[in-house]
This record gives sequence, structure tokens and C-alpha cells, in this order.
Amino acid sequence: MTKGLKAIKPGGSMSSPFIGDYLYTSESVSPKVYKRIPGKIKVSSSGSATVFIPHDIGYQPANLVYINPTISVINGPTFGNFPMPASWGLIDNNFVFASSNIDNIRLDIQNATPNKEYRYVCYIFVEPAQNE
Amino acid sequence: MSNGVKISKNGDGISSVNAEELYVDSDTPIFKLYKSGSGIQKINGTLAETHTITIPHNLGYVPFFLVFMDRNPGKNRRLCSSGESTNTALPTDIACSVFNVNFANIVIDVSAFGGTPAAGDYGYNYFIYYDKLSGVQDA
Repeated sequence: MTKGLKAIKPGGSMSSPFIGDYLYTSESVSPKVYKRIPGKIKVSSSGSATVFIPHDIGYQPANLVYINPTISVINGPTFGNFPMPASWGLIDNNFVFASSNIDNIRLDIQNATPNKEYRYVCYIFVEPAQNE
Repeated sequence: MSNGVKISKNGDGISSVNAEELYVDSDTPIFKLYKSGSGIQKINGTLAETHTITIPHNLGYVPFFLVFMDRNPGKNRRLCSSGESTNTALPTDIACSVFNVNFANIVIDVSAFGGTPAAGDYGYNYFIYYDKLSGVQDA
């Protein structure tokens, strides 16, 4: 690279061969957070729940969802139409599925404890999901 | 945006490229790393063995984090998701799951899920960010 910007921690080196050592370098595009959306999802009396998280970014974005109390990291991106294929995780030994489309991130819980409520936070990234 | 900073690649116009192609865009925050590290979890290769890895952070809130761990000794590293069942895990796989995160620690549950995992050293890496998981309270 002939031109660009680098930022390092105090005491760091501007000539490190490893990009990961820099606080910031214009050699690499950093993931950028478009929205961070917290919310709640409540299980129905029949043991299932679905919530749509609108993102209005205009395409399927890369995303991550964390759910309490056993925090599940449901990693996106996911592709295609709802509800499958989807990334999945477990809360209280029950399945949680995350999927996405151009309008929403969707969470689905199956066979869970009736009427239990979970908190979540959904990270929507500027970066689109591949295979968009 | 009335004021701010955008940085694009050499030759790219600031206003002509999509947001995801920008190196920096002050309209959207980037994650700020607080702490990263790595470790080894020794797996004995016994039936249904389980282990717990505790990664302290002491930030005083639940932080954004990512953990990656080998699925087999020394290879197939992947994101520690919340769980894996015997439906999807091979009998010799080890599953890593994020068991709990609180104001002080990230606790990783490592389980053979009823199978007999391959014995060996399983490496893991973690990244903890200053960014809060707002909306998700202490478990």
C-alpha cells in the first residue's frame, strides 16, 4: 500500500506485518454496525414463539443475535427465504432459529417453556450477506 | 450526514461507493476490541466428558464477544454457538457452547454430548469488545 491510514495502540509499531495488530488500518475494511436492536420474545402457551426484527437496510445483512438467559450466539448471515435455512442455537435446551430476508431478521423458538420471556439483542451489519 | 468522516480505497469516490466498501464511515460505529486471547482445552477422549472454560473480563456489563474453538484437535475452528446436539455432531466431535455471560465472565461449556471425542488439545480464541450487549441482561 502506498497511501493510507494506520492507527496503533500507544507503544505499538507502525510496521507490524500483522494487520490484526492495528487499531485501524485502511488496508482492511472493518465490519460496521448498522443497527443494534434489543427486544424481547415471549413463548406462547403452546411453547413456540416467533418475532420479526425489521432492519430496513434494503438487503439481507450479515447479523448476529444474542439471547438471554443462556446467551445464544446465533450467527448469520443466513440466506434464502424464511424460515429455513437458518442458523440455530439453544436456550434452556430448546432450539432457537435465526433467519433473515430483505426486510427482517426472524427468530423462532420451538418446544420451549410456555409463557417464558427471553431478552435478545440483534446486531445488523452494513456488510451484506454473501450470496445476496 | 452533515459532518463526519468517510474513508474509501484509493481511486474510489467517497460518495460513489456503497457503505460496505468504505474503510471508515462515521455514520456507523465499528467494534472496539477490549481484550483478546487464546487457550487450550485438553480433551481426554472419554465418554460424554464435559469441561468449562471461564474467560474473565470484569467490564461490569455484558459485552459483545465472539469465541472460536476447534471442533477436532487443532482443526475445524468455528464460532462457539449456543449448542450442538448429537443430531449434528459427529461422535468424535466436541461441541463448544456459550453457556453464560455476565458482568464479569464469559463461560464456555465444552461437551462431548454423549459421544466419545477425539483426545487432544483443542484450541480456542476469544474476542471481547467494549460494545455492550444492551438489551441482554446478566444471566
